[in-house]
Order: sequence, then structure tokens, then C-alpha cells
Amino acid sequence: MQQLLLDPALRNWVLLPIMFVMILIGVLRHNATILLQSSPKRLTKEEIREQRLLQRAFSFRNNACFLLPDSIEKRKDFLVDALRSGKYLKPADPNAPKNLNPMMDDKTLENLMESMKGNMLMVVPQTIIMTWINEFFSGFIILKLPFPLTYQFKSIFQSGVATQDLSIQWVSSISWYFLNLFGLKSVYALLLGENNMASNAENEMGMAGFSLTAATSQTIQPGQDIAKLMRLESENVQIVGKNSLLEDVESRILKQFF
Amino acid sequence: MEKNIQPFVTESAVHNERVVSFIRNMTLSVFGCSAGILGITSYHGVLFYLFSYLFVSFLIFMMKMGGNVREYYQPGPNFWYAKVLEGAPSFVLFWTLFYSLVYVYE
Repeated sequence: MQQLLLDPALRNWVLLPIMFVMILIGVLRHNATILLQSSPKRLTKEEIREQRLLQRAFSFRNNACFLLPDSIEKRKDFLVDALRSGKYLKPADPNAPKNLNPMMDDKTLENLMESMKGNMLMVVPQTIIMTWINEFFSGFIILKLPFPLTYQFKSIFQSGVATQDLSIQWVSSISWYFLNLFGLKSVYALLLGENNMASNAENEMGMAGFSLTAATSQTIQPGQDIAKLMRLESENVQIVGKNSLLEDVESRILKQFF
Repeated sequence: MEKNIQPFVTESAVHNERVVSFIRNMTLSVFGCSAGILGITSYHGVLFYLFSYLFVSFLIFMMKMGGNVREYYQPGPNFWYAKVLEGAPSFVLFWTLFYSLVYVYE
């Protein structure tokens, strides 16, 4: 087993500073992402009305079993009528240009900008730090991995030190960068709370948060016809069954207590 | 109909999962520190990781869930093996850090 003696100055000036810098950059990225998020768009009253009607029909379908049977009937009639008749539709704007190209629609452009901003904020700090490390911290060994790896990693992990016999467990600072990149998620979770923008979990959060805001603030594809959606929804509402949870509730409650 | 009498609330399930994930991340990082200090190397480290993962899951199972996984986590057996590799990068980071600090430097 090779034993190398490393200078404690390496620990003080390389190991701990790199970790410290990466933690700080992560916190910075989290705050920058929050600050750069644009405020939610304002919708007009008519647009909100039509979306709210669709949401109402959707939640009726999901939760109809909690209502009394004649309440279900009444709501069904009202919803089917409202969806079919188009009373709630936004009045057609004669000035709005016909969007033949759904890609150039305003809303899709804004979504693209948001996701691009997110990507840039992830990529740019990583590139900068990698360049900084390769510039200033190359050419020496700072770390010993407790586990062995195969020879292919030698060129990546021992980038500055080109020796033949040095076991793969001795690595240079670029591998410390990679270890930090993947391993600091728990530190960010501790410092910033769980939904932080600094870890890679933001990618999944981006998808999930995206679909939630998409459902509430705007329809799914802006090019889709709201009237068509309403017709589909009215057919779905019509097939809501009459099962209500409240039908046999007296016997069930009595069974619980006796 | 049975599903609606005891409905599956998505918010609670997500919250539970987040709490479990947070606990696992924290404790596995600390176990990584202890692995480094103890001087564990190579495949012993993998065994130690699995052991600590099962230990933490067992503690959550006994103390927080009272022995009943299905009430708090859907579907039940996924709690034990679905996210085994989630805490691995943090474990490896702290393991390497403390191993080097204690055994390689003066």
C-alpha cells in the first residue's frame, strides 16, 4: 500500500476552500434563481372565467361521490349546459392575429425563456468553477479515495500528475470537484430547506412545478381551442355516475359504534 | 368506493416522502463521516452504507410509523428499497473527506 505524506497546507488551502466555494456558489445560485423568476402573468377576467369553469368541471368529476345524489344531478345539469352553450367563453378578439405557428405564441416563448434561464444558471457556474480549478489547482495530489477504481479513470482523476505507478486512489483536485458536485445535495438541503434550487433536484422540481403552474395559470397548450376542451369536458361530466358515498352512511356509522 | 372512504391524499404522501428523504440524506452523510473516521475502505464501505441505510429505515419504521408502513407510504414495500442510492453521493463525499483528513494528512 503506497503511503504518501501530504502537506497540511494542501488541506488548508485547497481541500477546504474548494468545498467552501462550491457551497457558497450553490447558495448564490439558489438565491439568484429565486430573484430571476418573473412574476406570474396577468390574465384578463374572461380568460380566468373560462379556465375556472374547466377546473370546476374537473374537480366535480373527481369529487362527485362526496355529494348528495340530487346535488350531483343539479350540478351536472348546470355544468353540461354551461360547457356546451359557450356562455363562459372569452369573446373573440377581432384584433388578435391568427396564430398559424403555435411555436411563436407568446406564452410558449415565455416558457422557453424560463427554462433557458434555469439551464444557464446551472451550466455557467459549473463551467466557471471547473475552469478555475483546472487553472489554479492542477498538478498535485490532494486526496486519497477510500475505494479503488479502474484504470480508465486515471486520466481524468489524476489529470495533472502523469505517473505510471501511482495507485488510482490518489487523485487530484478535479475529482474533488466532481465528488462535491454530486455530494453536496444534502448540505444544500440542510442550509436551504428541501425545495432548493441549488441541487440537481431542481430539474425534477422544475417539471413538477411547471405542470402545477401550467394547470392553474394557463391552459396546457395555448394554441388549443378552449371551446373544444369545453365540449370534451361536458361529455365527461355527463358520464359521472350517481354513486354517492352518503347513501348507506347511517348503517356504516352504526356499524362503527355497535 | 372503498378508496373514497379512506382517500389517498397526494399532499400528505408527498410530504411524507420528503421528510423521509431528508432524514435519510442527513443521517447517511453523518454515517459517511463516521465511516471515514473509522478508516473503512473499499467494499467494507459499501456494506457499511447498506447497513446504515437499513438501520435508519428500521428506526423510521419503528419509531415514526409504529410498525405500519402502509399507512404512511404508498406502496408499502417500496419504502425499504426504492431509494437506496439516493444518499450515496453524500455518503461517498463525507467518507472520502474524513478518511483523507484523518488518515492521509497529519
